[in-house]
Amino acid sequence: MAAISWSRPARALWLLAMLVPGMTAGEAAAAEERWTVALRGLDVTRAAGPIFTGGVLLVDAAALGPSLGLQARAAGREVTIRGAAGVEWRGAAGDTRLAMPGRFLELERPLRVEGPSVYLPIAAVAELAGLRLAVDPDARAAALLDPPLASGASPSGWQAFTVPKPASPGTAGEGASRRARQALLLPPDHDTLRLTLGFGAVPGVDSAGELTATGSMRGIETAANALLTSGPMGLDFQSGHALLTDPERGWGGEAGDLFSEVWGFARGARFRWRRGESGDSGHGSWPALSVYFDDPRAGNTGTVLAYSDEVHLGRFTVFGGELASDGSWVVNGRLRRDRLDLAGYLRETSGRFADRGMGLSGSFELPRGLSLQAALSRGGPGDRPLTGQTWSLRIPLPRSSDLSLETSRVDAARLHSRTDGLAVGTALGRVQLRGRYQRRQTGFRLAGVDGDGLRFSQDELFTSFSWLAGRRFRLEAQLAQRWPERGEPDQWRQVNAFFALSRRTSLQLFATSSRSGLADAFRIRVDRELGPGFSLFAEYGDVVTFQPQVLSGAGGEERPRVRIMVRRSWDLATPASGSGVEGAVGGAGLPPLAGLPVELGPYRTVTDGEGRYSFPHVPPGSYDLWVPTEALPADLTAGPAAKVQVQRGRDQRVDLPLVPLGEARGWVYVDRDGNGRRDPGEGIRGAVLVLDGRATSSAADGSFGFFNLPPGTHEIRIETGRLSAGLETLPPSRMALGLPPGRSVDHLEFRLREKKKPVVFQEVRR
Amino acid sequence: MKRRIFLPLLAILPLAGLAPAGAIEFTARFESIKIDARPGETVNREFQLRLAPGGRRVHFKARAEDWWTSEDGSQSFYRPAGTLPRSCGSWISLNPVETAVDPGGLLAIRVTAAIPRSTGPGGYWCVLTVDEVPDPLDVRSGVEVRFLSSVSVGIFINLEPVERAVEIRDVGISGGQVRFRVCNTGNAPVGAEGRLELRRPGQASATATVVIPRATVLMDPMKCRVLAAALPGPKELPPGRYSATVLLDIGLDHYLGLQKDLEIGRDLLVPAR
Repeated sequence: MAAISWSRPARALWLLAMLVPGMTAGEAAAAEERWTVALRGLDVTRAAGPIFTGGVLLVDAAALGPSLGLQARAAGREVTIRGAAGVEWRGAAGDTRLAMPGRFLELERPLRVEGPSVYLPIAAVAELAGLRLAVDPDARAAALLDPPLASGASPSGWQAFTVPKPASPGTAGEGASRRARQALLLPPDHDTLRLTLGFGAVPGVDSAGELTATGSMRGIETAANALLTSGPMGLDFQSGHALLTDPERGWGGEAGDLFSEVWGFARGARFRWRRGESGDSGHGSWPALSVYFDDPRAGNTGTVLAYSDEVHLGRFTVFGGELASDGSWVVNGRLRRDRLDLAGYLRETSGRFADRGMGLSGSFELPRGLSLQAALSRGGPGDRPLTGQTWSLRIPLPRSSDLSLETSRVDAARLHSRTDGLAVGTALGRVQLRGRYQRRQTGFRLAGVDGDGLRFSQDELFTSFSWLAGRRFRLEAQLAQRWPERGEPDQWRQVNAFFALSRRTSLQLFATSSRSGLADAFRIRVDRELGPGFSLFAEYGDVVTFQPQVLSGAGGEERPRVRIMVRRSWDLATPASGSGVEGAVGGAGLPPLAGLPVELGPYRTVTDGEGRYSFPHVPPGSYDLWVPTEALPADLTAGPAAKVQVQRGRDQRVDLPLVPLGEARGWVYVDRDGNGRRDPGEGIRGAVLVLDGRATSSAADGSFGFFNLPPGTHEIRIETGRLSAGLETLPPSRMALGLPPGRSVDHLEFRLREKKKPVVFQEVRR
Repeated sequence: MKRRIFLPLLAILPLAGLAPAGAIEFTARFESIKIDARPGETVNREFQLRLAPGGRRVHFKARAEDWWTSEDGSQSFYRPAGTLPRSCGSWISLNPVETAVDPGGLLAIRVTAAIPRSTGPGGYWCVLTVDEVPDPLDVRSGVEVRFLSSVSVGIFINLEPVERAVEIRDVGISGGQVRFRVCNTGNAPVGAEGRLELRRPGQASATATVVIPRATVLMDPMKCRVLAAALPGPKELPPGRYSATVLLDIGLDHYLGLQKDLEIGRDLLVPAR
């Protein structure tokens, strides 16, 4: 507390007032009124009524109160001062301190009460008002000023300074921005198409340029690739394919090297569309019209038109076929049931590779993990059919091992063979081992020669080994051995090793060798990422040229060779798909709720200052739209999630209503004075009340409350069986409560009365 | 009977096993709820308390109220929301207000602060108090004494611009203690902590360092708080002349420092009886 120092004139004035008999009160007051009091620069002397007594300046806190944010009131001798801090100080006339919970405020002079005026030392008034006091005794002036806001003041004798803090990671600002990033999860505002261009060369032989593009544009899935080569075969368009699919609207177009059920790969164009349902039922069909151009590498001759269809009967059954204008056709189908998987086809083709054939394959899951597979086929030209059949039984063994028994048979006009085999596979940690032993019996019928023809058999053993040592090293080895009935045993070996030399560089080694005179091969390849989207690979050894025809053409036998390829990728932003979903969150009478999270399936946003939300570019599909309960203000509730069906090109507005929760308060009391209303002291503590299964009990004053109540009708009752023995309820003991949204009811009353029992007088027997 | 625990600025404090016999055992995170917001904004937080398994079903009732401490921090005072001028109690809504939790169950109270648009800048505070109340449906016969738990967690709401500023108005060493009277001259409560370093003249390293524990310096109803810490004994801090440096951290990007050469006699180091 600031002490007042005073000057000689003031002291002289005080001595004069105290010592000179006969000085009138008015004269003393005149001397006292010489002090002036200022508040934040304004003269408030008249309101303050300063009294300088005992070396201390007193001011009227009651009169100054409104200007200071104080409420000083006197009731008799008792004084109550509600400080600027909002806490009540109490004292009495003559006290030398004010008191509040936890603290006393010592006064330099006793508290003085004169009518409505409450005189306090001006230093105490400054303390209560949170102001700074400046006193100029010479000028007899006191000023109440705002306290300084700056830090750095220091107690007497201490020198103040500041020390910068070292920067620490993870400041609050960073945390806030991180939370903000986590808070929003919006659909991408664009689709992406990854375009890759590559250029490669086998120096001295050929070169190639390739282009691939995958991704989507406005929701249309796009995939394209093309390989253009230059070499001994001249400039050659080796392969190319472009595909556009709109899964939502159900159409697709493709051109280039197509796969045909009739021809295998053929060059042409195709348009397909969806017919029927596209939902989870799996029913529907994909008819298609195709045109295949003449291509010496394909089976068709001349330009051929074809109609095909793929009919889905549920999720596990599909039939299809293709009919071409040159009379070629194929039908196929697949049926899957719990344990059975069957597939088959019938095909007849004309043209360059005329053929007629059929095939049937299937598998059946037996108990105990056993499975049986079988395949039958018949094909080839009419006068030289080729039939084949294969049966196998797979038996699971402990420790991730399995055993397979297999037999297959091939019959043609002049050849028949039978192979019986046994295969075993096992895994030992990161090592996988597989082995297969088989006996092959082959017979040839020679043209124009009667009898069984030539027959021979051989035993064969294939073993493979793979070792995956983390992500940095992988080793695979295969060994094939053959023991013919006649002749020398044969052996063939292959090793493939992969090393990740660094995060951006990998090395691959490949080698084969054999005893049978097949050329040994060796190849080493290095892959390196040169930068974002930029990669290179280089091969040395027995590498494949870009024009496969080179192998049999000029320069095809020159080895070893080098092959290099450089690729560069770009992620191109393309127009986004999807539609907008927007709306408002709130309800009638509610202020706009800003920053409230709204979730639409996997996406999340927050409301703006007007309580509106917006999800742009939402991909088509079905979503739940809702405000997470934990994000709702505690006094609001929301309905169940809204189901939103998003279709491309159709923006929609969906409002999410919120409903304020309410409260029900009331009293339990005994109307002791019988006046029909609750009076102080009549409340009953501990009465149990139940509302919709929730229970509470009344407080010491008989009050009770139920909170967070949704609007609607509730039933509230008092548990009469839990009342103390001397009390009983007056009707009603239960009541229906209609609670409007956001409203509180605070007038519920349960009246009790004390049980009146008759007095039974007894005679005192003597 | 009620036992109230108030730990406004502690980090994680599992309290399992601390409760006396007959009282509930629970684990809770007693970190103060700190909210940086703007006028007109509505902000949600959650208070969680998990009961230990194997106990009894407990009925809880929650409320927001005002809180302050005595100047030396030895006493806490709780009053209805709105008592203090910088109370945030009336902005707070809770859900659920009253509920029962089974043994091993979680009490999760959603705490919503809806800041009025007209609110001025600075710091506002109140506490969330969760009282254990007798289960209304738990009928017991006979006479028993049960300790009911009560937990209070501080809620501090800051509305920009926030000015954190203090004045160290007094430093005193006596009775084996160092005491600082720190007064809040800003517009928001501050957490103050720091250390006192005592060096022999001409020495770079401190002979003794006294940690000043963290305390909250409020603005109302009293803006000053006495921070105290025990000095080491004469063995660790031989009497003599020292250069005393006080470094106080109130959450700014710098420390507030004070320095003074002073004579420390043996009498100053003897704890007061």
